Amino acid sequence: MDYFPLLPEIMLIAMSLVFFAATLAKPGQALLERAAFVLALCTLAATWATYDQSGLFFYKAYRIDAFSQTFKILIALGLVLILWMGAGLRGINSWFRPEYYMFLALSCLGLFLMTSAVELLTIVISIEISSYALFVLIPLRRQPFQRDPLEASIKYFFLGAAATGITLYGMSYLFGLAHSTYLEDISVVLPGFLATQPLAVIGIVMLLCGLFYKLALFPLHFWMPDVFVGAAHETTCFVATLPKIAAMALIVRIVAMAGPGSHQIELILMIMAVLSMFVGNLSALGQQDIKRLLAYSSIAHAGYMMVGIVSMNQLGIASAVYYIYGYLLMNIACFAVIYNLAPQGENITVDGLRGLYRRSPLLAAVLAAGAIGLSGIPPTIGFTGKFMIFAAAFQKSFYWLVGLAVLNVCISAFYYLRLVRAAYSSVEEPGERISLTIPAAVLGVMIMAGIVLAGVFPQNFFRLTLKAVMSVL
Amino acid sequence: MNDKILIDYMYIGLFFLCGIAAAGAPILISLLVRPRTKISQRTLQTYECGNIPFGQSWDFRHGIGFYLYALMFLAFEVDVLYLYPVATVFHKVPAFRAVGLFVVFLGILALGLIYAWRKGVFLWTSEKKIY
Amino acid sequence: MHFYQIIAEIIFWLLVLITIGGGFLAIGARMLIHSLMGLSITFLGVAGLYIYLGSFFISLLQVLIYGGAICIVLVFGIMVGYTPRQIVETRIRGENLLLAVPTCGLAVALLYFAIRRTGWVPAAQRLADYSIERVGHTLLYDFCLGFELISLLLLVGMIGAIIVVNSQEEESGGQ
Repeated sequence: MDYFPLLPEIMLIAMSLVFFAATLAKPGQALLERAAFVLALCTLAATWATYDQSGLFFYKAYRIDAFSQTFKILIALGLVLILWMGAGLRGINSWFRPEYYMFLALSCLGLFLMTSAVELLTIVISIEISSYALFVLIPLRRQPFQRDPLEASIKYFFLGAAATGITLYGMSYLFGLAHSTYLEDISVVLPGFLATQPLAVIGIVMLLCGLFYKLALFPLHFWMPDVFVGAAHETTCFVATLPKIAAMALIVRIVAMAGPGSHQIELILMIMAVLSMFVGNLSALGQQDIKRLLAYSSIAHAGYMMVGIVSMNQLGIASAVYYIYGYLLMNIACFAVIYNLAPQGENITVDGLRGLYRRSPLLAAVLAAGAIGLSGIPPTIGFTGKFMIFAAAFQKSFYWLVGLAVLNVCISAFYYLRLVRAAYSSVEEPGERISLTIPAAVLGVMIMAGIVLAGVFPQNFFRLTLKAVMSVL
Repeated sequence: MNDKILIDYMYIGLFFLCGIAAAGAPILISLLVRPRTKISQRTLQTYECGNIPFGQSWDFRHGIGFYLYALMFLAFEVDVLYLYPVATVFHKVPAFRAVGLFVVFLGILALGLIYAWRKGVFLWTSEKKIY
Repeated sequence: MHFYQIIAEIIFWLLVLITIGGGFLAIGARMLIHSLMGLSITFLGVAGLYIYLGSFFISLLQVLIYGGAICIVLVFGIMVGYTPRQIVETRIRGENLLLAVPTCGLAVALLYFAIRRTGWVPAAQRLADYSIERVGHTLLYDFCLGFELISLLLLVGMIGAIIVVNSQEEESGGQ
């Protein structure tokens, strides 16, 4: 049997083992950082090399196809960018840096497994691996902020355990109806059950709960603000983006399995999407802490992505994948600014941004690109993504859904532009200039270019995602 | 239910009673043969150690090390859940597969043990070196 | 009805009573250790119910792992944690109860009616063999990926607990 398509997973296992050895040997920080970056780059290269592969592995429990590999590329790209952004790990307790890298790799491994797993038990275990690693990463913040991270971790843990319990319970119903744990077998009988058995709908929705939790969709979003505020900036950036990517992959797989004909599921997902957008955007309006603001914006963005998924046509899902790529870039832009503004890893308020354009013009520009992108103003990737998601919902004639989503985009513009205004407002004493390291500056320019270019020229990326979506729908 | 299963259940019930008898007999026998003593407040203390105990056991917070011990125990007990069924089919499957999966499973768990050992989880708090 | 069946029914309802009673003890107790006792009683009751589902192996493991190991870990957790006096103050209060009971009742009612309205289809060919060997065989073949991943999950849990504990220990030692 040919195991070449599993190369990305093997790379991540190797990365975890290398850093496990590092926890015992304790090498210097510079070496660790370089090793982490190189290994993450190798993983990205491996995902890229295996893009065209496909096949079923481990007795049909693990599926490699264009869909899973696209998501793996996104996750690996996110890992590289986050390691790049968080160079130096200034917010992390210095005793635990090898462990930190090890758990980042393990969490990514869990996310990789999530995108490829097509068997219910494997799905649960991979979700758990990725979240356990995050429960451990959150409390590893630097010493002066010890209480908040721990509280955040506990909240994340308990709510996560509850969500997994609900997921397992839903799976038990599906198993009882379909007598199989393989998605392939379930998808054969499920559309028939959805039409006749009310329990199938409940089972699917409960099964999705664990994934909604990772995506921070409305009823399962409570952990998000606390985790954002509590965790270190590097960790927060990871928690905010990568689990969402993997969760979306699984949600698409499961919703596609249910088939486009199920109106109950469609309705439930729509209601959750709308409530998620409103709760997120309205709560974000009054926030002072930037990370808390981004947390609520993240909840709202989960709602936008659901609009794309709920359309259940090729355009909708492809644009949701495109949008989550944009979301990754825009979030890293915002967190890169926060990270560079806070040398001690402290949280920053909106007022702390005042006069940023005098202290560091580049950072102000990066923040502006991120915030404008998140609010969906052209010519950014956020605009193009939202536009295509709404177009897909329009194709399915979900007019009220599109109307409410557009209303939400308008609401969200208020608080995103508040960030930009604060960064560009003139103050008497802006404070000392921030000197960026060269890699950080390069990253800032690259992210900005990515946000704008991918927004103006979405064709190439879109072709990739369409090909991926074709393999599941 | 067929009768054979019910008879099996009755065996279980029989063993259950035997178990209770075996556990109760020493208490009963010691009750019969032991010398009578005057029962005072001191006799009923949980620990007769010479000092008069004070407070309650839950007034103190114990060292976190105990918890880690318990957790290690839990991890290795949970793996019994998976290893036992696999062990029952050991003689029926190709040796390479069974032993291979077993070694990988235990090898991954052993990494946790190595980590705990290196970080001094199994040392007493006073001997613990700085992390 | 056969005499044995009556006994089986009685034992079944006794087990249900034990399970639910343990649950009530777990949420109603004033002291945390008593809650734990209620929980362990629930575990044992559930173990009995597994026998009625025909799964002796799962029942055995329920006693061994949940009734045994998990409860021990929880006891240690309580020992190293807060003292009961602090916990008494944070019990479920009136307003929470007022929200929790209707919510749970609604969820149970919804599930109950959904289950009643569902026509359960028996599997086409039932595997007669629910033995431990069969479980072992599927673990080695069909679920081999999950089998290995579980050890990874346990590893993450173990190392994670050590790290979290140590990160807190340093803090209290430093002050």
